[in-house]
Amino acid sequence: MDNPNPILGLKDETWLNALIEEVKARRTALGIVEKPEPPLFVRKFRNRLEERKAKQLQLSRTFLALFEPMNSNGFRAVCPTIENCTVEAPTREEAKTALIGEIKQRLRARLQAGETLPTERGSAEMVEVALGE
Amino acid sequence: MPSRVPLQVLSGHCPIDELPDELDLSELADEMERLWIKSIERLDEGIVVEYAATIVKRADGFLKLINAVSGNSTNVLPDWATTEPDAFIGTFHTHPRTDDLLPMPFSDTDFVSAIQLRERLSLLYSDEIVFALVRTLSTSDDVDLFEIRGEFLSFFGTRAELQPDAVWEANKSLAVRYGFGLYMGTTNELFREV
Repeated sequence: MDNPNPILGLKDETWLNALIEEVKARRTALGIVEKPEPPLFVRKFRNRLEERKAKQLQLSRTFLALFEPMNSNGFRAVCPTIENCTVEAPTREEAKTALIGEIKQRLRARLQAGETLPTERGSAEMVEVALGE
Repeated sequence: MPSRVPLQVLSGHCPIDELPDELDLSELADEMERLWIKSIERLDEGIVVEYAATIVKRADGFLKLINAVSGNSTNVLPDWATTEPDAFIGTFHTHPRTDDLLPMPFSDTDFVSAIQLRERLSLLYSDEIVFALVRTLSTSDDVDLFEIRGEFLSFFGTRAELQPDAVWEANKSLAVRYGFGLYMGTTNELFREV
């Protein structure tokens, strides 16, 4: 004999489906049009883009860079974290670009040699030293 | 600074196995997006307009869209007249749809015109996705419209409507068959698929 008061099973989702349909019908009546899910090839592309961004983030490092004007004109840029990492260029911007290139080259070489990459997590600060005291 | 698209790609003679894995079309981004917005600006009224333009390489080495024209999917035809020193590279067009605004890849006739017009680069913008066909050393010089249509339609089975995923599979198959490089992505990050 059937139970006159059946207990709603956890896997019985008829109520949920009915609710979803009702919400859909109400939204349609209100003129709310839902954009369908993007095609599979677009979802795959977006996942690929996300993965690449995550990888790029993982591969980025921050380093302290010091710049000083040279007497003979131009700028010298130094990365103190990496041994003997110094470049010279006519302008500060060019020195910065050259330094980034130098750091990248040095890090890639270390990565290929199986070494762990150094990183700079701290921040630079100017401190005043009063010599008269 | 010259175009971000490698010269070898724009030559139309790149060996297919030397095509780059990625393309950066950011120099055309503003223009492509502007024409896409114009394509769908009357979507609320159920009206979409397909836009087309000609891609040229200017004397300064940059790519540019010129001669923008509008119409519907059956009558929009790019005006590919160029004047020196601009050099013809290919065409651009949009694929707007009134029903769902899903990205829709190249049609069979897009492949035909890319082959027949000797386009080195054929671009399509549809719902924020950019599709690109790149001519290579292996690209066919001519094509039979009925043959290409038959192959294109074979991907849709009995379904009457054009499904974007099926169109994409057809695009990949046609790109291999006719020797094109096929890319998909956003304006500045297109990945090579074929």
